[in-house]
Amino acid sequence: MTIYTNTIPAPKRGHAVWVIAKKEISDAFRNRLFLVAMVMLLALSLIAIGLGSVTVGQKMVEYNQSVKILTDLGRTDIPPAPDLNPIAVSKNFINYLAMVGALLAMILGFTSIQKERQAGTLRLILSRPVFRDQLLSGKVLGNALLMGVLLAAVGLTTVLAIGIVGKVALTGDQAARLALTILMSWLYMLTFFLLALFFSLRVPKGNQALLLTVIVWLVAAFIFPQIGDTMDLDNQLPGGFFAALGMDKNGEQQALQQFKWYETVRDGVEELSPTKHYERISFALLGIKQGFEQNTWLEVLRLKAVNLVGLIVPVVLLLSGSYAVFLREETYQV
Amino acid sequence: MKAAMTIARKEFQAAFRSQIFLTITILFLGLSILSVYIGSTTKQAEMRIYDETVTTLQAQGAAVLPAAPEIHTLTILANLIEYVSIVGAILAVILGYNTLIEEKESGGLKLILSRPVYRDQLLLGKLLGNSAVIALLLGIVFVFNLVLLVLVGGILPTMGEVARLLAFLGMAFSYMLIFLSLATFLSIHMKDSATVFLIALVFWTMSTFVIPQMADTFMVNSSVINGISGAVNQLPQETAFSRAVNYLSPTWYLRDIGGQLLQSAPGSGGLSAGTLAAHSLTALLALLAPSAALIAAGFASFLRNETLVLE
Repeated sequence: MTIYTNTIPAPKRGHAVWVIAKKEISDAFRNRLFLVAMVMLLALSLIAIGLGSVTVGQKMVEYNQSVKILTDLGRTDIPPAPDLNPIAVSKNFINYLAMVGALLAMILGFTSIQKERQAGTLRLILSRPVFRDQLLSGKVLGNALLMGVLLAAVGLTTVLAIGIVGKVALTGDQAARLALTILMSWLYMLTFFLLALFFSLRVPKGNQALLLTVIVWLVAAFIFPQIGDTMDLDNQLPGGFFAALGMDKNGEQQALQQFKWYETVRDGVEELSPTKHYERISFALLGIKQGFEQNTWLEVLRLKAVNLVGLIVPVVLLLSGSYAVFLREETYQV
Repeated sequence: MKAAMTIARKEFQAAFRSQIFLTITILFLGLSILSVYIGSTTKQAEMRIYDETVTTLQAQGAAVLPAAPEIHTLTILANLIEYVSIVGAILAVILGYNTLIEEKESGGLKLILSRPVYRDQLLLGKLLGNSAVIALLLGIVFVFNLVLLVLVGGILPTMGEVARLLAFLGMAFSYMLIFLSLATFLSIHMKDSATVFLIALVFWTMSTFVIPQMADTFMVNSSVINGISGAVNQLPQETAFSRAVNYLSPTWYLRDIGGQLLQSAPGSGGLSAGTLAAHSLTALLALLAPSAALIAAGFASFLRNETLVLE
């Protein structure tokens, strides 16, 4: 007697993950809310970068005109080109990404699970030869790639805008600083994507998961930095409190010596916010924050290692938490 | 009107049965307490540094002394402006985003509309109930802040200061009403409450961060030379264009009038009662206009929408 067996061969591990990742990307482009937020972020970023590049271009034109006048006059003592720091045009992009980028990432994280729950496809996928870790890896990979491509496009546009509109070529160090800023932006978006993913997996009711994500976002991205800003003594007057008193940096440091505990608490509150870490390291890399202009990109990374860790730790924790929750969850099959 | 009041009462009670709503309410009230403490501590530290600086300069025989920092009683409560614009707005969205969708999903809407309740009464009741929740919360914030001002700050506010705080909370109510009416309007038109919430969140992000950030881009820096150190400070100054951009943001109106009422904006302490009243009236109208438009549009579409019963 011949026994026929009908088994479905398990797909290769990498293949299943890649199929799910590709589906995540194509699904995102069918989500109207994601498209609205993405267009908003891209438009704002491009306007900010474009305006910044125009300013850089104007300064270069002014410099070239001065050089021409001096040369025509037969002068040989031509002043060096002004230090324009062209990558600082990304300053507003950082501010927009801190808000709209986080929102975009949360939309992706929430809909990634919610769409499957609503359509009942989570059970269907898990009834096929796809392991839970493959499913989750595919979702994370697809969305991480999508955010990466989006940010890389903004980075590339920045380089082109500085070159074409601003007429300035980036040095190797400036290009590395810009690339690292894009990497930090990706880590920042990934944090909020994983936050939404974690709550969507942890809390069965979709609405509750979304509201919890938003509450954590509010606290981490707005409340903590706001408390920090309020406790910043120098931040209380336009132009700076210490500057209004006629104090230089040394005088400010001396005055703050007696409020060391206060400054420690303020710093501690700010350290709890991924948004603050993102702003601090990005502004240092872009040379917007004073004191980092002369450092190389590697030195900036070393000096801002705390902020880098502050961006990586939430990603690792939320990713581990998501796997732990999803791999142990049995209710989807029931 | 009786039917509307019954629905309003039900909405009011339902809000306090939601765990998420209670969580964000506690966050809102907790932050308002914290703001008094932080505000008071920061201002005390500032005054201490200022006094020490003046003493040092006098000992050195300096002819010019820095002006004392402008610290008024209500400046201590200035953080409240940010907490209303951030947490308050989200709280209002949470109150409104599920208002009608929940009833649609549970079938309660059909049931209510099969009773002698008109559609306008139903919507009015829901808006009244949720507005009452906002008013109650702001009332608690008002009492909390006055008590804490006395207990933590050690300051007894004057009647004028109490009136300013009350006026600010009136502005806060109008501001939160915008987000409540937006979420309610969206919940009339949409089937999925999560989408309603996310769309409202996009609008809020635009109003609170994106538009003010864009306006900042169009500001110009003016150089101010410090009379003591001779150092040059850059101060951002509004331009006609940056102001025009800000007019698009309800949050900007709240921050602007909030700064004047709570005396945190430079020069706001010296504003006459008449000027302040005129500014407040303008801001109030600007804050009420979006709510009025959204509520009117909400009524117009809800009264004509037949699909709610047919679904």
